[in-house]
Amino acid sequence: MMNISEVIPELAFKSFLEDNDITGIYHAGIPTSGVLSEFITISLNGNINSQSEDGSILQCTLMVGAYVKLLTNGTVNFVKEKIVMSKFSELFPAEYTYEGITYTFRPDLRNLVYSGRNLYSGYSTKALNIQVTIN
Amino acid sequence: MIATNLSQYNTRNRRLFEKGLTMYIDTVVENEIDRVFNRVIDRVYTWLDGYEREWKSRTFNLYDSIGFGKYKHGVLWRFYQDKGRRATEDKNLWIAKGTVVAINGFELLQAAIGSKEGAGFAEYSLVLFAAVPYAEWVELSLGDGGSNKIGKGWWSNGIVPYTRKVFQEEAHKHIESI
Repeated sequence: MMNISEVIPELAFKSFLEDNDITGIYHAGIPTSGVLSEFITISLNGNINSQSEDGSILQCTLMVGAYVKLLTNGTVNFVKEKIVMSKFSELFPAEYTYEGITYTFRPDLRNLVYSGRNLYSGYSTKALNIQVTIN
Repeated sequence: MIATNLSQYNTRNRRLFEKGLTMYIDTVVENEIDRVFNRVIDRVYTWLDGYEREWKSRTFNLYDSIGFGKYKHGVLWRFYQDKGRRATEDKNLWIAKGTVVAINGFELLQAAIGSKEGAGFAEYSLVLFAAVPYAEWVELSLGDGGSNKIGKGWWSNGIVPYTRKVFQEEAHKHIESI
C-alpha cells in the first residue's frame, strides 16, 4: 500500500515532462537569478485525497504555470505562448510510472486558473489545473 | 427475458439521465456562484479605485498586494490579481528594517495555492489575499514614510470587512432574484 506522505506528484510530473523533452521546469518556486525566457512552474493545488478505503487510489490537483518572457515592447509573445501551450497539451491524457507508482495526468483545458501578465515581472502567464490519479 | 432486458435498459438509461442531469446542475450552480464572486471582485476593485481618487498612490504596491482566489472543493480554481494596473516603481520588493520582502503576483498565487482558508471549509469559497505587512506599517505610521505616508486611512476603512459586506449583499441579492 502507498504511503500518502511519500507521494510527491510534483516530482512525478516534472519527470514526466522532462521525459517528453519539456525543460525549464521549476517545481520549488522561481529562482532569484538566471530565470529562463520560458519556464513552467508546478505546485500542488489543495490536498492529496484518498479515493478508496485502503488508500490504494489517491487523487490530487497540480497547478501548472507556463511563463513566457514579454517582447521587448512589453507586449505578450502570443506566438511563443501558443507553441508552449500546444506542445504541452499534446501530451495528455497520460499515464506515467514514477518510482513504481502509476500517475494519470488529465489537464482541465476548459478552465484557465489565470491568464495575464501580472504575476511575474516581464512575463506572461497561463496557469491551469491538472487532475492527478495515483495508484 | 425481454422484460428483464427492458428493465436493465431502463435502469441504465435512468442512471445515465441522472448522471447527465447532475452534471448539468453542477455546471449551472457553478456559473451562478461564479457570477456572484465576479460581482464581489468588481465591487471591491471599484471601491479601491474610489479611494484612489482621494489619495494618490505613489507606487501601487499596496494595490498590487491584493488578490482573489476562487476555490472549488478546496482547490484553487481561478485566481485574480491586479485588474491591469501596474506598480510604477519597486513593485516586487521593498525594504523594511533592512529586510527585503517580495510581494508580487507570483507570491500571491503561491499563497493562494497553499491557502488553508480555501481548503474545504465550503464547497465553493472566495478568498481575499491582502499581503499587508506594508499596510500594517502604514497604519502604525512606521517605515520610511512616517506619519505622512501616502495611503494612510485606506486600510483603516477596511478592505476585509468591506469585502465581507459586499459578499453578503451580492449573495443575498442573488438568492432573492431566484
